[in-house]
Amino acid sequence: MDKFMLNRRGFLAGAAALSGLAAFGGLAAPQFALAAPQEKIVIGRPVDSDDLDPVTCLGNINIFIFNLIIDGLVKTSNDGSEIELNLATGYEVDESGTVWTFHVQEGLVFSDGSPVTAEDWEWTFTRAIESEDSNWHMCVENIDHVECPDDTTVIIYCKEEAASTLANLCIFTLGVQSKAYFEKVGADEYHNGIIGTGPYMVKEWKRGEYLTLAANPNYRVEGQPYTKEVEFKIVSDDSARVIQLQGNDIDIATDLPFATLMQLENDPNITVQPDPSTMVYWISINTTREKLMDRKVREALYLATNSQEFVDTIAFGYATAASSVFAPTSEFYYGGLDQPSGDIEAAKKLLEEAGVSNLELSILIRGGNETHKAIGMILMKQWAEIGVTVKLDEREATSYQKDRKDLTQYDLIVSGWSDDIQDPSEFMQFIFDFNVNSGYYSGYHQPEEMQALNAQAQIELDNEVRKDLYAQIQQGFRDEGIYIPIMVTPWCNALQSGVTGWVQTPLGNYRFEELAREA
Amino acid sequence: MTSLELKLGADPAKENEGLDKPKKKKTPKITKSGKPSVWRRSPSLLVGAIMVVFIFFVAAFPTLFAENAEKPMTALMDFTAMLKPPTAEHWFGTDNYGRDIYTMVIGATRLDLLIGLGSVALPFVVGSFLGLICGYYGGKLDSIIMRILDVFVAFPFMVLAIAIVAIIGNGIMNLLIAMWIVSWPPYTRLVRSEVLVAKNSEYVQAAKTLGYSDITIIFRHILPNVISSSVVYAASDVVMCIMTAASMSFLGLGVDAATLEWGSIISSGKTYIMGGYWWISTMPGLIMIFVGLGFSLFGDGLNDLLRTKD
Repeated sequence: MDKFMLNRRGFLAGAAALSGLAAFGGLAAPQFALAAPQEKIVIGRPVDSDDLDPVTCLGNINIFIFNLIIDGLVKTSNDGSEIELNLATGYEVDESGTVWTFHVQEGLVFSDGSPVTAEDWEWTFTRAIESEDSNWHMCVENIDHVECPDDTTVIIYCKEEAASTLANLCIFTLGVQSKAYFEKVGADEYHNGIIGTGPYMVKEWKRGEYLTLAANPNYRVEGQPYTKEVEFKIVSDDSARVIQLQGNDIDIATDLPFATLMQLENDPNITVQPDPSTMVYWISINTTREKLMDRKVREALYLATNSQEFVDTIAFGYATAASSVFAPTSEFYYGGLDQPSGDIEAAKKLLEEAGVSNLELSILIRGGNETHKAIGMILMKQWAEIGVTVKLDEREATSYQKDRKDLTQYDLIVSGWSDDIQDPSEFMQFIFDFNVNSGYYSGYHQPEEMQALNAQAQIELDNEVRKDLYAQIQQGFRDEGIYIPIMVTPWCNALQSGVTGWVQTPLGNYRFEELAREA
Repeated sequence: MTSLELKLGADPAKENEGLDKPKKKKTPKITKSGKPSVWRRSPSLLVGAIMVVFIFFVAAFPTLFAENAEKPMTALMDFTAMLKPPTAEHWFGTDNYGRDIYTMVIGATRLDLLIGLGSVALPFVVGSFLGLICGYYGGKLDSIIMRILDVFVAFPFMVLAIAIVAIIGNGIMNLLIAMWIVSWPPYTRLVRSEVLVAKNSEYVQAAKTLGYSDITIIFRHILPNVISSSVVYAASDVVMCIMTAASMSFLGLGVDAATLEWGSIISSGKTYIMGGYWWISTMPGLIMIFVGLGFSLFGDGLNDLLRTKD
């Protein structure tokens, strides 16, 4: 493909020269000169990034961009199924499984032209491990320290042998960054952009309006990226994003509502691209509430829920009904669980056994989020059939972020997760480590047996055994009745039909090396 | 010798007659036979009043117009009838939860009227009271209140309302509080400016001369003569408040998603409007136009009625 592009570019350059000659010579310009790629691609998204420091950032709106700016030793493949070498050319693991020696490509340079040194590697790892401001310690906590004897060797010393080591090394906090740049600009300015080895670098960021990335002139793959500039333009309103896409003001629209995707299917100039994702929505039940402590009550709520109805009503068939908090795209997904299917009679019976009647529950949802709102509305309808009243508690985004950490604020909460690495270990930390976010907003301390299963799954090297362990964990979640799976949704994007090379991995990362649009 | 001193020798009884003069004039002009009735003199008042009465009637007896209008939200949902266009069965079509838009619009009338009237009532009373006090006493009190008012006026109406709701949270009561906080300045200004003129009128000077207390002068003599502009403004402000509440709900800052309100219905349809499902947002929008027109005509008619007298 690279060769093809080089040839194509050379060919196009020749074509452009020829058309110039033709123009001066009074000849008709050849048609293929029009096939040159656009210099800039504009992507409309609803929300702006707020922190481009990979260590301190939170939220997909930042995370998805890092693969464009920084590279790590390894990365997940575009389809999310494998882990591939990235800046590393190979690696060895010692017998104990705790010392990983990576050989790094020679002659690597950052986007500012400075060489990638051993010092940069060590600093990147050390900062990710030791920074108190990091939100991603769970991915690096098994790393004891890192040594870099030279610029092309990175030796990682782990605390213990673990199956998730390689996957954890794909986390964006470990993408090599320029230490010199950090020292030059300071920690505060570092939130506005970083220097890495990725295909793009931050050119201009006007917060709340746009973020422009320019092609890295020192990118290690010749001829890439195909497009010189990528602009992330903030278009908050969903309808406005669609209008701009149809009006050719933007080339790509992301995070579109499902109803809009359905509409755009009929537009011959637009390609609807619901990319497979690891995004799962579920309801977390706050088990610290007296009325929800009884497992029978939780089970009744689970049985009264019909996840397929959410898919049909909210997602118009673009999503799939969920039966676990794991996405089916994960190799550790356990398919043996029953999806909530609206067994009203059984639910009523359980409530009766629990001696509960006229149950009133509030569900915390994020203001302005149509999916959250729709989930709450449908739940209201479904649970009304077993005599449970649901009150929507819609809070403004900032309040929502704060209040969901306070278990006294809600009975239920709409939760969601998309993997950042191709391994469940990070996600499981959010559930099993109560201090991270209270058992994923359930207020539920996982019992010792479950903790033991998770601990074993973290270090188990046999993949089949790991799958079985995670299957038991998922079955455990189902038996506890603390999470009610709703649906698995794709990344909802739409592109101008001339756009090629669009990649958003199931983990959500953008990969734009080959992104182009013919002018 | 000042005019006040000149009036000191006047007959108090006659002065009292003079004080009531404006009131007495009002009634005969309207009801005196041989003169056109108020309705004929102000067709907009007639049309507006009919429309407003109709709206109140719908709000009071919604089930006469849509039998399910008072049923709980969950009872309106019908997942087998999602996104149906307007038909004989569903006059205004259905939304993405299969709810009948016509029923929702009728069901929301009471709440929207409550928001409109509730938002206006307190600012009307408080704003007018402050205007009376400021205009009558003047001085430092006037300066302080007017500077506070300037602060409120300095912020765009919607921005201030949004900021307040963002701080105190969503919900009908909080929405009303936000509306109260942002809506009082026009009433204060209107009344104050009228009081500044009225307090130098002969009847006020006479009342002072007669030794009436400030409270009597302000509320018995000045208020009836200065309140008309506020009343007229309030009639049109009801529309503004309904529109603002709808805008807030549209932005997700008004009532919660499960509460029927015109703005929230319009907002819920915005995602679908580009997909050709125009009726979800359009139908409640048309009803809002009708209501807005009714109150505007009514306010316009009141203006004609009250100002003609002057």
